Amino acid sequence: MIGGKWMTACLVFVVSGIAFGEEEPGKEKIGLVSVTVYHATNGDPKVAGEKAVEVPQETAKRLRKEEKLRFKTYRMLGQDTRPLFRSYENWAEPLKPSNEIMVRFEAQGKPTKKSAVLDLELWLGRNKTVKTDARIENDLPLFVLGPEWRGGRLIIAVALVQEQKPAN
Amino acid sequence: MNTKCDETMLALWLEDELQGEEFITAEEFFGKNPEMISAREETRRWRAMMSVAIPASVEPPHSEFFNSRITRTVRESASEAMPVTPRRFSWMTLLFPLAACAGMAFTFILGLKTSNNRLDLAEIDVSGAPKAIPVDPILYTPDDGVKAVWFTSLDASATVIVLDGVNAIPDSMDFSATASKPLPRDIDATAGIEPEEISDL
Amino acid sequence: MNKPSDDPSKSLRKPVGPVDLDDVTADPDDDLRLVALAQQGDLGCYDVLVTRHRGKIFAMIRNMIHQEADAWDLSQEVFIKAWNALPRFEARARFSTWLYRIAHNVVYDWTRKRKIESAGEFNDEIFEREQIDSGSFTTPSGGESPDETMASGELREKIEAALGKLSAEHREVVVLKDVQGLSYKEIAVVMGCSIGTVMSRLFYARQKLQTMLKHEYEM
Repeated sequence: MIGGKWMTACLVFVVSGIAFGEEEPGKEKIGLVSVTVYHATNGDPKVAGEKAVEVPQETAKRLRKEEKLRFKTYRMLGQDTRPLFRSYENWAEPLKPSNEIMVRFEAQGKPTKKSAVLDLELWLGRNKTVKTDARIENDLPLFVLGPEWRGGRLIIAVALVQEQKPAN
Repeated sequence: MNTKCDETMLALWLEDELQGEEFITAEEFFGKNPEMISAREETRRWRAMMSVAIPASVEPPHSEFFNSRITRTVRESASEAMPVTPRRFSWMTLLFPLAACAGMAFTFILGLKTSNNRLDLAEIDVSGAPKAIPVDPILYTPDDGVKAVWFTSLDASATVIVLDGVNAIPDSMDFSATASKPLPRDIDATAGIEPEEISDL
Repeated sequence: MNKPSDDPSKSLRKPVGPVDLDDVTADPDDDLRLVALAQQGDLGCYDVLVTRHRGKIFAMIRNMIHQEADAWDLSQEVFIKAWNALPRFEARARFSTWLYRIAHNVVYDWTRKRKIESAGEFNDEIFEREQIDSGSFTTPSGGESPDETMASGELREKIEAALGKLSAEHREVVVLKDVQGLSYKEIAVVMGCSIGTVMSRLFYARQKLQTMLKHEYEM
């Protein structure tokens, strides 16, 4: 019965709300932001190091579709996924423990289910390099063609992430 | 005010910490003694050497981040201290009367009917831009030598910013300590749209 | 006594009154004005205070423990503790002196936790050169030539090595007096001892340093 399910849903809500406490609104997690650093090169991809991972085919093809981002190979150097708060900033450190690339982000206004406008800062070498208010959607990431490194360029990708349920 | 020329006064005089009457008195007393003057000069020289060699102020790395971490911690501790119901969890609260449950259920229904949310209590709305309307992003590069160009790439279905003029990262810099690991396709957010067949380079 | 506001919605207000956020000079009177506003919960004013004083606190702690990453964390801790203790600040001393006092306690707790011997023997645990990035020091002002910069860098290393051979108390009194430029009275407040104790510690510490740095000092 709808009524029974409704009551169950309400009780679940009540219990979870009480159990976990209603958070201060600004701290409410409204999404996840993922920052990935790729090494893109037309030369030898191994220069990125042993731990650099070859990116999925789909990612490589997507990047190649854009002329400015088109390289022969791509390797993922690191990734950091952090919560997006309603009105607090957060920092992603995709190359941790290195601080060479960091991204500061904060939600601007209210995001929708599929998109968010972020106040973004890209920090390179501990310097604020670019500040932007980028619109990021579930399927519309931001790619930044960044500095040169070991014969290629670093591409910093900022994307909204759907929260994954742990696989059993 | 101490007008006695004792050891304490001497120490303060040597360090140039005296002022006003105390300084005048000490200067008259110690300033006539060549050894004392020499000692004061030596102290000054020592302090100058130390202050030049070891800076008194060093900006901590990531200074903006430094501040923002403090601000965040302070805010978090402030919100934790606020006695707002139903923030505190207690097993006893599970025994709240039905009236409290009904009130929350009503709020829940309101939440379902309103897009995206709960009642805003103290939200800080930092943007006046309508969220649904695409607007050109603002780009700002503090460093005059760095240029940034943005565009929407329909092919890649992404927003792209191209940086020009940024310093290259030294080849010697190593990121092998980064715990990079292969990620399954479904959490590589930039894989995105279904790929079409394209020719490789 | 004022205390930070309980309402987090008011905890981030724009500073009241003329506040030049780019002004990082530490005017004690202006500090007190900002402290008074911060005591009412104005986090923006507190942020200005942090910006003004973080360099000195970070430098002091780093000079004491010679570990940059820990110094960064401990500096954070100082300002967070200072915020929590703001209601108890009564402006009897300068705000900067009060911060140094908190820094002293933070360093003391950190040191005690690591059970570092303070008997004056050289201790690798507290003096890990690799932890410090020399390039992160503020560049000496005054238009030094590269040779002068190198010379002052070498001198700095020698002084740091010598400081590392002092006990924590002697090292601290030298750092506070000869590097941070505090007065005897202020150091006594920071270290929680008498002016006489400060004087005798400083005398001993300088003697020892001058002996170790004999060649540099006599140049």
